[in-house]
Amino acid sequence: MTSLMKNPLVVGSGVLALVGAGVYVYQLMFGLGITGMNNSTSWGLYLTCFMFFVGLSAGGLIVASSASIFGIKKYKAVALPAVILSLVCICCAGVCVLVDLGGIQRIWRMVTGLNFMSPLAWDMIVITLYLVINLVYLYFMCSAKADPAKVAVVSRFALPVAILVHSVTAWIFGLEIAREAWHTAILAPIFVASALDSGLALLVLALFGLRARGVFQTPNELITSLAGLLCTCIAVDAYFIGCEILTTAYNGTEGGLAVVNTLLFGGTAPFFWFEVVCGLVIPFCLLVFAKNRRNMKIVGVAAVLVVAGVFCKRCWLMFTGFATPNIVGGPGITLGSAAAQTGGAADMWAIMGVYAPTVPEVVLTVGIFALGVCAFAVLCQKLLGK
Amino acid sequence: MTKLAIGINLRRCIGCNTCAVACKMQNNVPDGMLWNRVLTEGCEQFDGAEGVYPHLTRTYLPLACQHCENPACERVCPTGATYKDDMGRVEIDYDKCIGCRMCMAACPYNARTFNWNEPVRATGAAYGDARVPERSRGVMEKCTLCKERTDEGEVPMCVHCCPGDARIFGDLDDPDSAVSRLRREGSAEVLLEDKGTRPQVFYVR
Amino acid sequence: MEQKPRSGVLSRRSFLKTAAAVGAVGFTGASLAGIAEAAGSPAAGSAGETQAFTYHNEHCLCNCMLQCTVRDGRLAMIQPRPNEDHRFQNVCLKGLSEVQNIYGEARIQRPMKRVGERGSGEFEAISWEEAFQMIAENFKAIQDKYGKDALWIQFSTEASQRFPPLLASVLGAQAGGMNGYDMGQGNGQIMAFSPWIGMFAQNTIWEWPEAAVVILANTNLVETSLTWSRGMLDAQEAGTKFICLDPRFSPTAGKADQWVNLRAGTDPAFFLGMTKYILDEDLFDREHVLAHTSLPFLIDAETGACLVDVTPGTDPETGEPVELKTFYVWDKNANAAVPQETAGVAAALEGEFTVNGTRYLTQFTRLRKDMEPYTLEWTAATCDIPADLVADVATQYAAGPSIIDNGVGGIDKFGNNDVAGHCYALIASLTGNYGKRGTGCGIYGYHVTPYEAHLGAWPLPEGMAPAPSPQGFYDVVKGDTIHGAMFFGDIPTQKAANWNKTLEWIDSLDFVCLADIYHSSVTDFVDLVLPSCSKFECADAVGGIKCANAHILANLKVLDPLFESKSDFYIEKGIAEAMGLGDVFPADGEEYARALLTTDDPQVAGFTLEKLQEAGGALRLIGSEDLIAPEVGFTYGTASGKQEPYYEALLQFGQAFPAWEQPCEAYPENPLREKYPLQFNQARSRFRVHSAYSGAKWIQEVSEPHIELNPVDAAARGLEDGDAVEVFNDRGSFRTVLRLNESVRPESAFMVESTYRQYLDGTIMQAVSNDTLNERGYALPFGPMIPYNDTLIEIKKAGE
Repeated sequence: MTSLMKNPLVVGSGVLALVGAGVYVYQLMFGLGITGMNNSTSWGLYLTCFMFFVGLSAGGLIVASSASIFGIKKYKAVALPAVILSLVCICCAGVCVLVDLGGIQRIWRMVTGLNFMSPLAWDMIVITLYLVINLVYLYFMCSAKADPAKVAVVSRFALPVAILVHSVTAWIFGLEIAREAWHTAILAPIFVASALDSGLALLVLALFGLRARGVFQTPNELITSLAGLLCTCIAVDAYFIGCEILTTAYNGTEGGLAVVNTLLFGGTAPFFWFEVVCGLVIPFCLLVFAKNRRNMKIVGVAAVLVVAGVFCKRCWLMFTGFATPNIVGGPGITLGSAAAQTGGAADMWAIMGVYAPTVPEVVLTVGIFALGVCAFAVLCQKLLGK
Repeated sequence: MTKLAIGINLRRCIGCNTCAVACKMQNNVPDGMLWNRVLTEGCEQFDGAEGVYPHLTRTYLPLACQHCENPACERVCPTGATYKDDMGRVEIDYDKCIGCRMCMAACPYNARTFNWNEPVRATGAAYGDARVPERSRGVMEKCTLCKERTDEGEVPMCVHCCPGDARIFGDLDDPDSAVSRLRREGSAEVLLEDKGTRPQVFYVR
Repeated sequence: MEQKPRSGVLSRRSFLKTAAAVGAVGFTGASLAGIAEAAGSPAAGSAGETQAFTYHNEHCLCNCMLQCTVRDGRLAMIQPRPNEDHRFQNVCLKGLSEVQNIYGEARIQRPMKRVGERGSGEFEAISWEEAFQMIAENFKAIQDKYGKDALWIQFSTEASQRFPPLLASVLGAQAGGMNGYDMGQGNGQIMAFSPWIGMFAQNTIWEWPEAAVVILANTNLVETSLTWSRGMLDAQEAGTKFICLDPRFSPTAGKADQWVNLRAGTDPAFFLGMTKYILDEDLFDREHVLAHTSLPFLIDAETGACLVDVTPGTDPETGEPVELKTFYVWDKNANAAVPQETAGVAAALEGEFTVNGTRYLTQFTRLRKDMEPYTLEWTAATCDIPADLVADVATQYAAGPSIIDNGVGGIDKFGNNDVAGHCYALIASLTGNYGKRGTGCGIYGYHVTPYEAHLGAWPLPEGMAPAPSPQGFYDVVKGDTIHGAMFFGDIPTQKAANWNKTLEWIDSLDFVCLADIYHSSVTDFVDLVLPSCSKFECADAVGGIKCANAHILANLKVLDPLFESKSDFYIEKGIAEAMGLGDVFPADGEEYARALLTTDDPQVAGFTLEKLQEAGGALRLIGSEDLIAPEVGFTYGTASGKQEPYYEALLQFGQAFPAWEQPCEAYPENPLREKYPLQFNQARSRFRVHSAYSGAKWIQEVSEPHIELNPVDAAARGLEDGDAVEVFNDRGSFRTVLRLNESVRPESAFMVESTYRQYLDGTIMQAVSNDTLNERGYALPFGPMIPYNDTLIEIKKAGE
């Protein structure tokens, strides 16, 4: 314990996580109105991070399980940190959903009256399953009598569940007929692709971190190999996004143009272009050359860019969906926000989706990230340090 | 079966917002939100116009829950809080709502409003029909087709108060009802037909 | 010479009496039963809830009858009071908003004495007793020093509960003279078709389905007569075509079948162009013109004076001596001038004739000459619209049957408003669109019943009456005859233009007191402020009685007075008591109500306060089932008994027939346009009645005060939607928010008229409006009109 308390990363992130928890109490007292969310943009930073964390969680587990399933021996070396990362990320994802609920005190209704038609119901089931698999996986890996055969069995379930968890998360959005920007069959594959590249990139960064801290040593050859895999995933991700945007834009339909205009030139354009340039093009160009993949600095830069790019992707995906209401007309949508309650018409309406995260909302989100960092650091120190 | 519906004759809609305020009053809708709002189609400003002066047109579009026959909101609700009742209305069981806002993302009409904050009322007290249940912070709400009134055979308050007689309420399963007759007139249309939600609120232009 | 007896015209009163006698029995019974049942309906709701009835909002003349739910002592809900006649089962957003508004922040809660500078808003709460004493002392001092008539006591509809005011009579003060607004077009129509019901048309809005065309002349009916829009919508469904004249694509223009987007203030030009076209294309109704109008009459070719014989006579109704005139026409058979009523006369419509050595021509011949300048091209240029639009509307109107419905905004608030009204009268008589079914002109928007019951009065001692008001408020504020004033409601910012001048006048007064429900704009500028009750509150069982909508309406108690407010009746009574004159007032509202219901009018036979309470605050006048007035017909109270669109009395103004006259300020060639290029158009919207409802939160949620510009004009000034702007001219300025709207005519700005100054950053809209009166107005029946819209302004970003 004392050694943990000496770890500044653990202490720092722990403090931030506690601050986040404090903000959550504040949110419980006053409601989601303390965030920037409103009736025009009814999901914000919390669910954006939910998407992001679910994706991050994937990479690790997919590497770990494919090591067992396909007998890729060299990946077995990093399976344990990969599973820890996966576990931490999926927990953070769950926290993101929970803090986003307006009526958490009634969450037991999810047990007593679950509507199996709801993608959120599927998501709850699949995430729970995923969490359990992560835990079982971890147990078998760390257990004194770790049995490679049992690990192999678990991994055969882990891979499809990992893919499913990302698909179901995609379906929360992709099945919404109301939102042109989300409503596409390719959304689940896009999510899986993004999950792979961001998850792998994060794993690489985590391994760098563990190596720097001296907790866990990963050979450069393995990183180089992972970087090759990452490069492929980036290409697949970019391909899917390309397909989607072409299909949306090609016929110049009213709804399609609204989406494309928002994405390319409108409110979500900075996120979109950051992802395309810094999250896809640059890392791909860096990693496509074998020489670069052997340069750990370049791999590190590429991995950072990929993670940041995928975060931006979550942002543009989320907010493009809310940008243009299907029925446009003045004065628009009643916002229902705190400003709308106290002000007059000028504060109450929005023609287009409006949203800006508030300070408490950002602090709470940072707290969730900090919680993840803290948990990862602690778990690695405890489990890998042996 | 009963399939309650509202037909809105846009030719008779003068954009007065009486339906919006009547709904707010009847249903104790708090400050900062409306269940029923009146839009001026295709422009950014209420009472604006489409086109360039003097070649202008204007259509008012009163918009609330469309009480879809195939409600997107109902399907995605994880707890069954949103449900289609036996009178054909889409209703919310506030006790079951966990505030996840799946329904809000699912509704193509932006018909739903959420209690982001503790509800505030400029009157300092509740108003409207005493039979309407109160909604707390963190709960979704929207037009109920004036459940409390229509349960008793009364018309919704927006219909009751409409000064232009633009709103017709009734049972679409009764071919002789005024609302069925209005629908048969031929020019009836629903909003976002391509979404396949099959609204029970329809418009005559 | 034979004189047409005036008694030949079936007077309105005698018709009503006849009609009332017919259907006296069955209807009241039915109406009572209807309400008793409704009040007991499930809607009446749970325990602890009561239903009460009042009426609203007489200020916008809809007079909606309301059923109010009171729960835990608070107004919880308002619904339209059930009515067998659906046309009178009404409410709009303004009525509903009262559920919040009467408790709102803008409410004046207690008597307050001003302690800071005028306009500072610094007040000190005082008791009612102190307030009454203060008023009594000041009123006495002013009346002792300057005479009784140096005191001005005026009511606005907003702050009164509809017991007829008594205070001005009791004190011998002035109670307000001519309006100075709303009657401008009426000024131009009344002389052709008298009698004329104030500013209203002779027939009602329910007759519109019988018209082929209704021209809405600058009438924003769907907003300003909101609940009567049904009359328009029903007629439209029945096939009547609506043509709306409005520079702005108003909500009514949007609902009309055709929109004429003429330049503001050019309505007379449009109608003159139509008249010329109708004459040129022979679209007028020759038979009608010959039979029913004065147009064949002979007039002096030089002076324009009519050829008449004048004999003394007596008015058959009043018994007073009058001049009886006999007009002459040119008989084509006899080839001589003969009295127009000569049997078998074949009157010449056109031509120039010599009678006793003087040249005479027919009015019609003069009309042709007078209309010569108004070609389609001229009209198109003046109104800034296509020429074929003028011809098209003229053709449709002439084919008829057609109605011209004017409002009281738009052109009515321009210097040349009477010319517009005169044009309606001329074109209607020329085309036979007056007198028969489906025709007419005047205000229809609020004219929903031909019935008016004669209510009783509270008897005051002999000789107690208001002092005569030789001047309207618009002139009073420019003079020094008044030294003290009491206003019930915000008269000063509503009934006078050019606020800075009005403020100078307020400054010149020894004492000025305001009783109002809400903190209206003038509140901060008076010496003493008194809180009035809303229409939902009174101390007694009844707060007012009036006749409207073919009903006797009672303002029954819904709530006790909120805060420390008192109804206008008790404010008046309190002042009178403090001045030792309380005895002459009724003891309470009930006594006053009973006095008003004591009348021999058969339409209200048997109506008592108890019956009104039992019936939910409204009783339908006996015999008032048919809301379509009898056909106006072709006999009039004019000198000749015919339609007389030729106004001999206006010869000195060059307006015997209407002649084009520019607006007084907002005309295109005005050099002032270089500094102030925008015409400032104020109009009423559905969201407020003048300033009333400005503080209603529910209405603020859907509409807040702002000025609108066409995007073209905004771009030219570098202004954007949502900018805080300053609106200004040489008279003054005010601040508001800019919204862009394609509906607004370029080179003009639009703003919903009037709000409280707290919503305009402490400024007052009326600071820029034009107070220049047209001298001709003093020669007209309703006096001069304030040209509020005849105003040029410029707009810039606030603070620049």
